[in-house]
Amino acid sequence: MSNIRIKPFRNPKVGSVAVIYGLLLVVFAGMAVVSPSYRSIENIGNIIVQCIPLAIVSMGQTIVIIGGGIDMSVGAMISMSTCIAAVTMSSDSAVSVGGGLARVLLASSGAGLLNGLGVNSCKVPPLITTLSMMTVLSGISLAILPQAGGRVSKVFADFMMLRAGVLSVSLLILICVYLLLRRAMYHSGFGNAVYAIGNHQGIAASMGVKVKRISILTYVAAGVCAGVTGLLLASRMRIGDPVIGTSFGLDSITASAIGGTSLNGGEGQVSGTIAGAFLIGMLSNMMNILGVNHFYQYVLKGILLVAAMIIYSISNTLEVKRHAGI
Amino acid sequence: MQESDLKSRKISQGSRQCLILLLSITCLFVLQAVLRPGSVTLAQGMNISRQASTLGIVVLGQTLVILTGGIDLSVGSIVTITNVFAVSYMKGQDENFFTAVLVCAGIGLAAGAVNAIGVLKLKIAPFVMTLCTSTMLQGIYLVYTGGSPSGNVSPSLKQIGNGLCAGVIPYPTLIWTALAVLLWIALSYTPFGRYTYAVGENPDAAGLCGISVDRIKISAYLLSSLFAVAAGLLASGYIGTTSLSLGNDYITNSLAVVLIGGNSIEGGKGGVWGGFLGAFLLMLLFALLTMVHVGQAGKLVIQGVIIFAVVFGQRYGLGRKG
Repeated sequence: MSNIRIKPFRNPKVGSVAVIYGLLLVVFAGMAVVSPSYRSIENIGNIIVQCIPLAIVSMGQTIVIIGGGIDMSVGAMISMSTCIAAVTMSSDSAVSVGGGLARVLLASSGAGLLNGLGVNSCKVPPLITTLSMMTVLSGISLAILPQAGGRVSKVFADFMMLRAGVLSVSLLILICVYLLLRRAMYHSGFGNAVYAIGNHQGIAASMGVKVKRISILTYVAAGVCAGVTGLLLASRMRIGDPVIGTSFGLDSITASAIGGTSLNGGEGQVSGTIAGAFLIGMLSNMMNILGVNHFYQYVLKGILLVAAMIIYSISNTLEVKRHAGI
Repeated sequence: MQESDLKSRKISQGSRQCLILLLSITCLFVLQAVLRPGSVTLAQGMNISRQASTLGIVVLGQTLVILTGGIDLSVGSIVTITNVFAVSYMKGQDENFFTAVLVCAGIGLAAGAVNAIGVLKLKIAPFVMTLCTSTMLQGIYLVYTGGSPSGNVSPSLKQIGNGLCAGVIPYPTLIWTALAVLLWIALSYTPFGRYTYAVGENPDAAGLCGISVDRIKISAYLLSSLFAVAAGLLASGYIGTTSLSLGNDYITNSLAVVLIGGNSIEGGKGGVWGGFLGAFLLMLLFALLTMVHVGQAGKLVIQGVIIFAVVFGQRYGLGRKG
């Protein structure tokens, strides 16, 4: 009887998360041996800063996927966030920066809320809701900034890009977001409810979980994560770009899948997703250093996603067999 | 008795959808006549049908895949890769025409096969698998062209893309109509069509009835890719050169049109002519929006709202009946 109450963070998937972190270390160690410039503190800091935007947006995506949904619109949300930031945060005054921050986060969480309402109140499948949101938001981004342009406050951008060795403000933001989400997912009722609705909405509802509210919250969380990612990208480029986020939709799904999140919902780890995002980023970085045509990254990402899904489906089958005692 | 009931209900639903679409098209033409008196002519209608033809052909394939309960998000990349390889193999010469077409068809079949294998054998969700294929194709054509393609299509393809048959009907429209008729016959009067509907409606029941579900789904993905290749060739003929952004709009546009055409996103419901009229309607709408100076941004917003609203409307309608 004692094993009926399974805490999500003690489930066997923790082992697979360790495997991905191991893989990450192997890739890193391999590169460090091959190239001396790779193991410099400077480059390590660089890699971390490069991987962080994808890591943050993927954490939001993971929560939506665990809750049984999917969010294709995060890429467009990122683009829209950079555009809003570039238009509203052009001066260095605290009012302008604060106002811009508030607008970006309001817009992205608002888009997330609409996604949640579309899926839960209008009962439109998540894929369709978020695909149409993606189209609408890319239209809005184009309306705000027809081409890449605008200006992001220098003070704000410099602060966001502040770095000392491997430490940086963006790393701090990643850690804060992670700790917040970790707290929400594994030390509160919200997390258990997300896993529950991802596993089976009907059963969760009959156990008293407020399915609608929880599901909407997951989409809002994804929206906020996308907004933060947009702010990071905007401060890196110092401008807004209406198409910068295009690849983040699929990439965030890939990072989640590599990190052990099942696209059927109900299982996954936020920590695994961070490893997944870093793996994608480090492999891209590795290809750059090895001088591989950077367009091959598209092919690589596709293969990574398929490979992750195949490996997890095989390991799941094995696990089922082990439990069945075959 | 029951079967004929079912059939007549399906047909009446389909024709009602077509009637609504025809009505909407008429309304848009009337609106256009009011906004710009004298601009509604046969030539203009034919021009819009030419623009709708490539989208319409992609929609035929997308319809098939959605009928079987899947979704194909790789059509856009297939259109672009067709364009890239067609131009690169034709080198502006007519004698290379058939080689280029064969190469493109091969690429299309390979992409469709990858989709089908991923969805059916590896059990990956259709939208994830087709997005994956799409990304990989994108990588391939970017590597192949180095990001800056160049070249021209052969004169004959250009003639097909731009010419008029008997001085009235554009060739792409003719090809589109012919393909639509073929698909309609295949769906309505052959076992393949009945199986496709059955698989979409309830794959388990279809499997138990002895239908090879996998075979139907595989052919849907393969045909979808081939239709996208055909559309890519016609679009290449129309623009005459290569462009890496040629296929960008096809994913959401084809989805929007398939849904406007009365297909259910869950599969098993819909037909050819809804999508046929839907493609024309969408292009007419875009032409009107351009006429009143709504830019790309506005079009994207409207497209997104259409997709959402149509599925929402279907839900609401089904909910009331149930």
